[in-house]
Amino acid sequence: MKHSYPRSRFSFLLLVALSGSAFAQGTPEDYRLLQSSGPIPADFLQLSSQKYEQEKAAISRQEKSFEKKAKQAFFLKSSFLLHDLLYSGQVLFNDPVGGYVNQVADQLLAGNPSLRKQIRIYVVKSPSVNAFATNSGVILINLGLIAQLETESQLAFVLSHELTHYLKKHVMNQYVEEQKIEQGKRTYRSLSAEEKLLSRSNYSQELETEADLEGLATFLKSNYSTRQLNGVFDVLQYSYLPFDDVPFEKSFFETPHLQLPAAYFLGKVKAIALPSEVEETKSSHPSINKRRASVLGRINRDEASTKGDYLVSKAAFAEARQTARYELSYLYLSGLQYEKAIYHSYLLLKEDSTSRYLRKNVAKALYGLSQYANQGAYAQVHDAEADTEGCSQQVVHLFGKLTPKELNALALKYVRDLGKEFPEDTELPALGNALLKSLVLRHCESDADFATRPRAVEREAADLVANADTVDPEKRSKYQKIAITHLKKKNADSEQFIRYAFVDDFRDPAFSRAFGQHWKEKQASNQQREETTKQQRLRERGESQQKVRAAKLIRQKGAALGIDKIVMISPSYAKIDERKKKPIRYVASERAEVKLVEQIQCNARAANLVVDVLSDNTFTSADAGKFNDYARLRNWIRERVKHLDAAVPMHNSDAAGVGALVEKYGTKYYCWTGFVSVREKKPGKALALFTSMVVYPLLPFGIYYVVAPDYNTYYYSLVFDLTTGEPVFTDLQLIDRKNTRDVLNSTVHNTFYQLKNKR
Amino acid sequence: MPWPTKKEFGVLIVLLGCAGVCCAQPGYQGKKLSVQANLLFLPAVVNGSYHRAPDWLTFNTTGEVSVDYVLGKRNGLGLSYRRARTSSINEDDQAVVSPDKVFTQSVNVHYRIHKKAFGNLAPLGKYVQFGTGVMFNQAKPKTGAPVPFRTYAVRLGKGRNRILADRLLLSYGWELAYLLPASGGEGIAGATHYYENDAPSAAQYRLWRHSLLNLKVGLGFLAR
Repeated sequence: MKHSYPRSRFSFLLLVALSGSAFAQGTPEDYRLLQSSGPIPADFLQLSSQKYEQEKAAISRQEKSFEKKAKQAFFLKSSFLLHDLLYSGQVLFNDPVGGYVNQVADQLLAGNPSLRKQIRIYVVKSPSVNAFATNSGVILINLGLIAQLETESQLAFVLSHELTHYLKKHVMNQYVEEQKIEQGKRTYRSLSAEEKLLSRSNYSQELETEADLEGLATFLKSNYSTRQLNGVFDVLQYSYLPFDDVPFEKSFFETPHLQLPAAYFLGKVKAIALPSEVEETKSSHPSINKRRASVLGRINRDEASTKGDYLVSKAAFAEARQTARYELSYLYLSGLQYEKAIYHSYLLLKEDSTSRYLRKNVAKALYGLSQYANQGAYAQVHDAEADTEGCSQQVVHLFGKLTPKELNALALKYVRDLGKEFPEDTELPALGNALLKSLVLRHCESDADFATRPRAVEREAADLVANADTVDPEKRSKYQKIAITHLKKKNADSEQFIRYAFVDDFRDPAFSRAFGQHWKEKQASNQQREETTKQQRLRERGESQQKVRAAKLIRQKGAALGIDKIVMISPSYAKIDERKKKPIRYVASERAEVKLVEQIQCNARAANLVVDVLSDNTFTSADAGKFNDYARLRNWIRERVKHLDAAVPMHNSDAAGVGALVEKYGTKYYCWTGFVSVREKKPGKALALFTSMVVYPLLPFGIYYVVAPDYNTYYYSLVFDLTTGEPVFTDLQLIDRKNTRDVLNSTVHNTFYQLKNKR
Repeated sequence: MPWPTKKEFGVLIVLLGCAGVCCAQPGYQGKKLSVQANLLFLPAVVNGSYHRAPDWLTFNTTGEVSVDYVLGKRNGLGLSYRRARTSSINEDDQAVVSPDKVFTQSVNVHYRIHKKAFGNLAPLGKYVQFGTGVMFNQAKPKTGAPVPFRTYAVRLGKGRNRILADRLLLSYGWELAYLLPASGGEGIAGATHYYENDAPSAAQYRLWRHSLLNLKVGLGFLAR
């Protein structure tokens, strides 16, 4: 397979220059999310069925039948799962961080160019601290891991560990061994379920130990120093913690008029637990301590002075790591891990306090927390305080203490203050308006809930508090100290601390006007609620009749949306045969998926609807731009679906990026569609046949029951308006028959017609 | 043979005109009009065929050409022309004077309702068909001149359409038909059959049996 990465430092720098620096200071957005660039590598373009056939052909004929079958099953599954992962929207190619990691691999394997050619390394946009190798030579490294590493040599060691997994075919061997354990072959005969689990774990641990030691051998052949290897195991040990442990300052969210009560902050956070000495017998990996001891025990302390921790460059490592950390801020946000996103951004803001990207992420995280709290679904996004260690516990504690009203007000205040700093930003006003509306409609009991003027004592003290950091506490006058104590006491009352939050904002006529309008809206809504029962019943009946009429019309004639253009993202097709042990028919599914794209385009022409298809089956090597759009939309829908459960108003973490797609493709309607065709198991075939033979006139029916296959086809189609995040068309259907071409065409065309047609 | 009256033509034209006006659905990939050739058949177990006596391997057949137009998501309207011939060679001794050969041509309209299930969008999928038609028949006795007469039929059918290669229409199903009393013709000259006094005569009875139940297969294409 052709290797598509730049090998030299020059080409890496060229790549960075062409793709644009991730930290483009001075631009409206100071950080741009990582994207793929350049030609799409062959790993992404080759069909999984082709990869499977190639790998299957490499199986020796001398292999025993069981192993041969197990390997075939492994190749089949791994080819398709890898393809799914590569097109999950999370894997990047030719990006600056991936480019750097590949340079490290170049250095690591400088003495083994043939092996280097076999290896393709990609970066995965995932916050978890992990890396993994596939049987085909693809190594995937999570940004979460890169964000935590301390030196380039540590990254080289991780790569050498994964290289061993590839060289020794660990993934495949593990699969084959697991099949043996599962089916009780050879030494695994007559094992209990518990013993099987243990055997599986032991085998996996053996492979990991081998990967560590053989990886170390590879590493030692390179010019990387072993000095920092101990740190790799620290990274793994504390992978559940953020990349740094810095106390969260109370003042982070505070303003002169919004002082958080001290009771909302912990005096002492939970200490980070010491490494456990208990051996995890059922884990897939040996304990970190054991791994650390076995690796460090083989290191020769008298290392050659030519070896170093950085062979590419320290600056390149620092930039790659910093990029990974910046990405994590977004990844936590899009994963609805809002508290982690806030603490993570807080850590980064310590170094880059003016970053608009990071502060916007904090604003979006506050918005998310507030909306979930307002919907009564806070538990879905609030971390468990008892499970959090270190300074990040302070954040979890604070958001556990804040009431929904306080949280809403805090979020609004933060968003508004940020909006004042960046008046040209289009996202912040939208967030602010939504937060103001929910604050008034859900939480305000009177229009005087929030003070428009500071109290006399606060007016004086506010200045003091604002300057508290700059004034030496010992140099404060007796009266200043009294005033501050007085204010803090008042702030201890939660109602009080939030009441004065918007004193500054009420001076802005637009804010006052918006607040007043929402208040009127609330009053009107309250008034409606107070209508007589009869009026209310009449109104409700009218509304309900209207809804019924509209639903009936759609049922009878279909929707009529009058859309001229849509973009379809990755139309999918899954073929399942429930009668078989391995029910997913990977190869047939892929073939059907390719055909489905053709059918979509054909039906689009027939319906006179312009359809752009972004599908893994349609990309060529020059389509990196489309691939990025595809990835962005995959991530958008992933986040959207997460919000569906709680029915929370959506604000996408990457709203600006997704908004740009609306302009690029000239439509705001994006469609996710697919078919699942299931050949179902028929129960009681033997009984049916026997009964029909006994009652012989029923024999034809009995034979028909046994012979005739039972098919069901499931169809889904969801069209979202990307600007609002709301679905405009949903169609989820069960087609009680086989997935023949005419049925699929008819179904797709019906959808297109409803999208295009105007009533 | 008498042609349809102006009135009958008028009804057909109005019906087809309505089809064009109220069509709100796309049909199959936008193709609403289909032209189809069908064969209706049943083993000539009771009735002999045109050439042969009753037998399991002998078939009474009717040829049909139909034009169907999709009216909506679940319904369609069609116009068909049918032609068939049969004989009475199976008749018992008493029927020696019954018509030897019977020829029929018919013009029919039918309305299809497709089953309410997803994936069953007209013209695709299972349907129930209601139809009516005027049959222009001719009975040819063994002796004497042919006697034309006209009957009306009401039909009920069930079937299923499949579409191959986005153009070809394959259909199969069955049909029940009931022939209403005949008009025109004065009976068959010299008939001594027990139906001889009935206006439709033995020929009509023969046709009634011929049309009562038929299996149907057809092949057509989606025109536009």
